[in-house]
Amino acid sequence: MHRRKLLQISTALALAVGLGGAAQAADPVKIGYVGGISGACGGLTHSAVKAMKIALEEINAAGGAAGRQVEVIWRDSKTKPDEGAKQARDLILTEKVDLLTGVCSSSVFMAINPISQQYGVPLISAVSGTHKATVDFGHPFVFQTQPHTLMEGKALAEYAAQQNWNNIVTMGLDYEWGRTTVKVFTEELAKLKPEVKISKQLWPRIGETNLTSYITAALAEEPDAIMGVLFGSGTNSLIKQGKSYGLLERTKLLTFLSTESYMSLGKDIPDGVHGWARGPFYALGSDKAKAFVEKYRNAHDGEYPNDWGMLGYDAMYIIAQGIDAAGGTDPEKFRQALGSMTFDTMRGPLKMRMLDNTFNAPSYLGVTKMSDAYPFPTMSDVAVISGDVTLPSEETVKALRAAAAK
Amino acid sequence: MLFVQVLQGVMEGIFLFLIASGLTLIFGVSRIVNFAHGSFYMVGAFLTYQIYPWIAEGTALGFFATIVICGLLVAALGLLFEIFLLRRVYHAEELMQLVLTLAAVLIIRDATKFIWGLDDVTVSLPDALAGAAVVGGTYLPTYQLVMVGVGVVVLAAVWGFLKFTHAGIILRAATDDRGMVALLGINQAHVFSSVFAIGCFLAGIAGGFAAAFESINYLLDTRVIVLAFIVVVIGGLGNLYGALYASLAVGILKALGLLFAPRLSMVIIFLLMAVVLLIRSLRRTTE
Repeated sequence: MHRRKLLQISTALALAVGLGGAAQAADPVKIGYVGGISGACGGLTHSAVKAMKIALEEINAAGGAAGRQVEVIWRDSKTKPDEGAKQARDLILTEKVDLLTGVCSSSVFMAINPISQQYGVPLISAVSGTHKATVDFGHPFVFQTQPHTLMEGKALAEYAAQQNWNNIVTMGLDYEWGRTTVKVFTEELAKLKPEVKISKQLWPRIGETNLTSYITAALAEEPDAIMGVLFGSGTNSLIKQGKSYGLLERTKLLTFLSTESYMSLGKDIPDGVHGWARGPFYALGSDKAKAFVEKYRNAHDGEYPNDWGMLGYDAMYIIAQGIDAAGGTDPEKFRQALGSMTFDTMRGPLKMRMLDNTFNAPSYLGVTKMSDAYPFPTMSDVAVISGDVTLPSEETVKALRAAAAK
Repeated sequence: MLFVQVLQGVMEGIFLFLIASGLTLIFGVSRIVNFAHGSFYMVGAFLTYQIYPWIAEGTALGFFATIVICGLLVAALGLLFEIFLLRRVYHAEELMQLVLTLAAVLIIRDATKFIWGLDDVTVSLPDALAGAAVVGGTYLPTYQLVMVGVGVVVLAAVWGFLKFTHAGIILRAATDDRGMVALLGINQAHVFSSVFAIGCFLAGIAGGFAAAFESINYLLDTRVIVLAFIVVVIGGLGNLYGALYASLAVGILKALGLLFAPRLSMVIIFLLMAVVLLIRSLRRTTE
């Protein structure tokens, strides 16, 4: 009872403040950022925040969006769903933001998604892998600018089908991302190359860093390749510990390898690991990407942006250009604008389809190699698998939505 | 296959013992449930990352020297914590002690974030330790064998210390009956402080070894403490040998679980914990 009253009063107050300040054309566009600045996503997100701040500065220096300056209010979800939901609600109700962005960790994305739907405030996910927010529980105002799990699973299958691998062991982190990616990978690979056998599926927990028992259990199957769906410390431990078991001499390894892993492992990453990534700066040849990397490095002691930084920078521009084209922040006009444009991003031209508000973001796969260009190894011979190939079909989207509605 | 996996389990078990031994030792003597044990472990790991490049990076000798230095530094940190804070709550209710060690967890975590940032960092193994002995197609990684050796040395040292030295006898007496030891005119404060420092030293070197073995970040503290508690609870709080058996049991069960029922490997460990607790409480009620 008490709490409800408090909520009423605060809503009333918020409304009063909001109405008082509304309807002035010169007001800035307000964007609420909710992301895992600390917690499990902390090691990934900081680069996204730095990159988005650079994009924001550039956008405002060039006149802002739809003639208004853009202001971002930064909030930390601590990579916890309840905290993320609280922050998102607060940004909408008290800060009166026009849009929400950010998000790392699928679970936080899923927690914020219904809030975006409830209040009709667009949510543009820059860095979160789950497809459930846009596909299964999609609504008109949730957008995804990076490849989601259905797309990545398919890209991995496409890549694996081209290799000479007939016996594969999967090792996926025991949660949403790991489980779904392995499932989609297995299903798609069975369609592309039915003779491939998945001889074992292993599920290390998040935060588990002694993976040696998993490595020996995987090698016991004498696989042609191990497919790892791990990130951060999981990827690092797998590569480090795998080395002393002769993993790369005995089999091949395909694993998620975004830039922060290269930076923290350095020369401990051997040549010849098959990696996949979402926004590897070194493989993006456009002038736009090169200019951004240089700017980022100058601002941050020569540090390179990780994949999340590249995705964050792109997302900030997509938002600003969308608002520009929509002539403001009206959610429906914004959506129509996004769906009708081609965005010139660092990852090349990207388009969004209206079916599930998902961009045709590419996946990057290649083989690690040390070179003189960087103080850490990078992927060479990078294959870019376009989102046009990996986006799920309309029937799949409809089937998943029907199943979720039950 | 079975042999390889059991061996793997033993190696993982010994490493677990290295983590858990300090925790159980501290509890045995001072009855403090030290939640900050994982934090001291984490500090040991980060210090190793920090100091190793200054001390002959790339050589095995420099690596071991680094780990010992880091162990001593962590022991010193633990000693400060014990003398200035923990000592004041020995006679307070358990909740107070819990709150204090939990506060240490939060403070150390934030300090770690402040000093070393949010990114994962790793320490490169010296080349001499990076390889593996291959016996009949079975890989025995040098570094894991070294850790087994260290575990055995720690066990022997603690055992010898408790069994044969004067200080060890006092410690054992303090574990059994603290009041009696005090009545004999022995300064309990010294006993508690030294045990806490030894426990922290063990946490520090375990962290140092982990730094070269896995990837470290500021979330390492809670990751490790859960594992350490599982082992200590199965082995019996305060029971050093129990911790050893429990470590080996957990390591081997996990490794075998992965071979036969990958989805259940963690469930099996928690089942073991439940069964041990159940039997123990049944025995207590029948006595």
